[in-house]
Amino acid sequence: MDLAAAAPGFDRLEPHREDGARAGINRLRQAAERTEAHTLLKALDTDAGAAFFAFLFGNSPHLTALLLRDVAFTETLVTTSPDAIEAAITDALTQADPRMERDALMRLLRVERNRVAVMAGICDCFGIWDVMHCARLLSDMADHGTRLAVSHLLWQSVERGELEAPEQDAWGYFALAMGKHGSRELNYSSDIDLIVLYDPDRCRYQGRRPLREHFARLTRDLIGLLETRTADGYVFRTDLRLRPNPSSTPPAVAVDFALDYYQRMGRTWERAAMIKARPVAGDIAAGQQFLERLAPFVWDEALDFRSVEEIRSMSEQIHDFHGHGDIKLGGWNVKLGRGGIREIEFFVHMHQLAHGGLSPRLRGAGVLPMLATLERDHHILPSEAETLKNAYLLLRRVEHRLQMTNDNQTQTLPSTDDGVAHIARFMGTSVDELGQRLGAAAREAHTLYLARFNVPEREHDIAESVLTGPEGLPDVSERLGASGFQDTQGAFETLRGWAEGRHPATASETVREVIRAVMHDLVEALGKTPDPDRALARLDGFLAALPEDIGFFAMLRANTWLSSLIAVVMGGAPRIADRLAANPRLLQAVLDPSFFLPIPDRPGLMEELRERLGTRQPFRGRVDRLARWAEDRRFQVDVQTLQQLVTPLEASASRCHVAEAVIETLLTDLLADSARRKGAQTPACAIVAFGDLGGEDMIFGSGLDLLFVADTDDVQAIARMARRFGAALRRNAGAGRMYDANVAAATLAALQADPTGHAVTADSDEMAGWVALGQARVICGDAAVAEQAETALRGALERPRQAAPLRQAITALRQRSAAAPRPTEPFAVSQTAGGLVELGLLASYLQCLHAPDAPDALARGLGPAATLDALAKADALPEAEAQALAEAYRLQRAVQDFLYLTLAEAAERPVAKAPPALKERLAQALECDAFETLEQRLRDAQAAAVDAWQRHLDAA
Amino acid sequence: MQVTTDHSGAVALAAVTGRVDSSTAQDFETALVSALDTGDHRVVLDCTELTFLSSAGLRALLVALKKANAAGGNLVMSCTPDRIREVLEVSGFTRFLKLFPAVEEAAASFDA
Repeated sequence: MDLAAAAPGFDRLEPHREDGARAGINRLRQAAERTEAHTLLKALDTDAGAAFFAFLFGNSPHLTALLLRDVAFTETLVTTSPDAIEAAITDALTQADPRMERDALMRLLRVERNRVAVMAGICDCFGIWDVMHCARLLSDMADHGTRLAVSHLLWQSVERGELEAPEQDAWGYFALAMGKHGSRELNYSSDIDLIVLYDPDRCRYQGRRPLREHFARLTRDLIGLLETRTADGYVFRTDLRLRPNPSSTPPAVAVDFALDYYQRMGRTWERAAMIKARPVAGDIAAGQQFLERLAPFVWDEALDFRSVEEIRSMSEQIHDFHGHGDIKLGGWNVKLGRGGIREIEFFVHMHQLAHGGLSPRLRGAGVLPMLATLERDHHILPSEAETLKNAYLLLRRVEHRLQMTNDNQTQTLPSTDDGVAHIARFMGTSVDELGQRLGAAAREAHTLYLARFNVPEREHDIAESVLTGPEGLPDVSERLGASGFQDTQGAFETLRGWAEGRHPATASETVREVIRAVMHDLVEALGKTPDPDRALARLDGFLAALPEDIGFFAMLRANTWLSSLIAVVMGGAPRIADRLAANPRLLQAVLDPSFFLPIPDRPGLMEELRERLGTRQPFRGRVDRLARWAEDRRFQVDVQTLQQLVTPLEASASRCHVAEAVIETLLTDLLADSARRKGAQTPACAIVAFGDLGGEDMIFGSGLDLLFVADTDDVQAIARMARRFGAALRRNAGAGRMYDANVAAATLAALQADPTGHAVTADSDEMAGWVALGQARVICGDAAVAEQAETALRGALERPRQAAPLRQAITALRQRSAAAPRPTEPFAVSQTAGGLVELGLLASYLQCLHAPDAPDALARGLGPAATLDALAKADALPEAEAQALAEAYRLQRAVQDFLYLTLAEAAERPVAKAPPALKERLAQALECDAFETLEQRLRDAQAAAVDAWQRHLDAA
Repeated sequence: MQVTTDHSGAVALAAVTGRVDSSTAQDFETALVSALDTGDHRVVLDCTELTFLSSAGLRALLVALKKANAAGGNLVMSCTPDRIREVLEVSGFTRFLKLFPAVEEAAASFDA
């Protein structure tokens, strides 16, 4: 070794066995003399060199044997830098020809494997590389070994005439590295886990035996090649038992069988294992394709907290079985003990399984990179990530020392004092210090694990009362009454029903155990809502509607704060509650810590969509994923609105950005799919939005009115594409349609000839077309078509119009769209006098009238409030009036949005008769100190609008 | 929105007044980070006069909290109005952010 590379102070590291150190040095000296390794002899004569080898010989019989076996390599340790040695090993393996003789290959692999073991051991002990660098080196060796062995066997099959040599390694046979090998985190003496698969359609097999038998035999040979102990040692112990159904399947299984197995029978741990799977040998492309096909079963976008609960339970069973309740040094298992390696891995895996379906960033392998991602995405704090990282590194270093001693795959610290003293010395520390460091690291890791995935025991009291039977009723009544429930008997029966498995979603014993753990939090949270009895009844209805356990309670257990959100939704937002009932998967989005942070703008959303959708899905699959994404994002806007984390204007902007991102993505996908189907170029297209999206004025439940414009004469082709586009936008996303979308079609020439006639509106009146045109906006598409469509739309608005007929048409339109009788309540903001309909029409009238004089400000897609602002800027309306009317519109629009979110039943209208708590919340949302203040503001706003209507339309 | 900071005690005290929304969140974050940097990364945020906290405000809090946490300090909140407390609870932020009913109690939490 180039000893200069060792960490400062390395020469103070001491051997545990002085006699072993002396004997080792003597034997190495003799061997060096025998082989004339003069540089090595010189190094042994120096204090540093002697200390270096004494430490290794006095602590590790395994390293001693390897160093003495390969003296030539041992000499390079004192002459060459670690990086250069690593590069030389890599070169030897990369350049090796797999078609060499079997004996030569076996020797090469074993010699290089031993060298890797020496390098990994020494570099870890002397602080040259961190322990994970050493783990990568070991993993790379496993990759090379498997790759060369598989290639060798496949070429032998070719030589025997059983296989035809393929192009670009398309053998149809491949090995997946699993577990720590897959994530390149192998520990020092680890086995490697492989799953070997073949795709009969890719194999060019011409042997006499059945293909299945051929690959079974080849795989057995692979194991022999890697495992057989020769005079040079072995390469890796190899385990194939992670394959589907290992007790009844051959060592290599067909791809289709494996896919079917994982889809229909794959258990949680098998899916979790696939997180780390990586093709390493044979037909790498086929391996990657297999993993891509498997991805939907590993990264299920459906609610996956059952998996989290299963892993959590598995972790508890491990502790119970191994009895690792206390963290102590002698006999403690660094992998399975509380706060040990496995618990940190579980911590990461549970987050990955819970969030990886929605967040591709969390689909990576490797504990440390995933901890960094969890911190970056706000799932954990920097100090938590640091604590777990440091604990993991320390535990892995101790694990390496345990295994490095005698090349045993052990994780248990010795139970004898001398054994513990040896490991401490091997770690370069004292027993006391090692005990303190290990104890602290494991305790901190275990505390974080518990805090994240367990509800404290003390919070089970309400559940205990509910479960104690009828005689416990007085006690539980008192508790439920104290929590805020009026109908305590009804609440008791509902909760008892859950505990007894009345609903399919609560039927299993496992779920009922989890319910017990979360009931207290849930009851307390529901008790804080304005009407706890109603909130509980709604939650019960939600549970009753679930066809099976979807992991709802497991999710609450893993995220105790979520009870508060559930209570707020069930108690105050029935429409959102209905959507949740129709699509419980939405809850998964809430668990992303960024759910309550600002929603990205359109470019940010587009980037997210690109990451989420990937590139390989077929059109239909992409639309499904797009619909789910849109539903998640819209749910996010609704919840943020409900919680008043965004202003009504911000909510509207976000709804528009989401819709625009959906439309843009869908158009790109549709055109690509059409081109692929027809094998020809599709016409250049653009999408024009009218209505709420065109005017950037979307609220809860806003639909889409769109025009599909294409630069072609083929009217039927455009109509077909528009129909397909509309159907995709209306795709069911779980809680109903993605959007209520109305999509018309027009050729560019037709739009240019008659823009008003193509304005998408349910009303056939020409004026309605003009009103729609005032809110028209090109959303996306081919730049040239978009520009020409925009010019046509603007040109129409710029055409001068006579005021009198315009007034007449607007008044007629108002009369047609008025409800009868016209409501007088100020909260009936749409139809009441001075309400949204009138303000919208007034703004349209003024826009049409003044657009020819101020085309830059007014001849473009604007919502009513923006139109009123623009009229003031264009000096077409006094600023004070415009401001008052725009404010009147925005206030009423915000009220409308909030009422849509929070009122479901007709019985709750008129708003004046709504529950006091809801009225108070409505006032808060509109920044009024009391409901009456809001009511007065509305009346004033509507009076101003009525006055303006009369001034501009009636009296003119 | 205004943040006034007092560094006279062992723990910095930052008092926020008014609305923290998308137009003021950046200033709020800057003020918090500045309080952290000059206060040994230990800050009590007095929210008595905080009238509104938007999603942008939540992000500012999270950025400041993570900065404090990474430096071995902490940011805790006191006197949080009920409405804002509910937002923090419902959003799960109370897992990271500790809330105290009084400034003194919040300051004392650093010694615990």
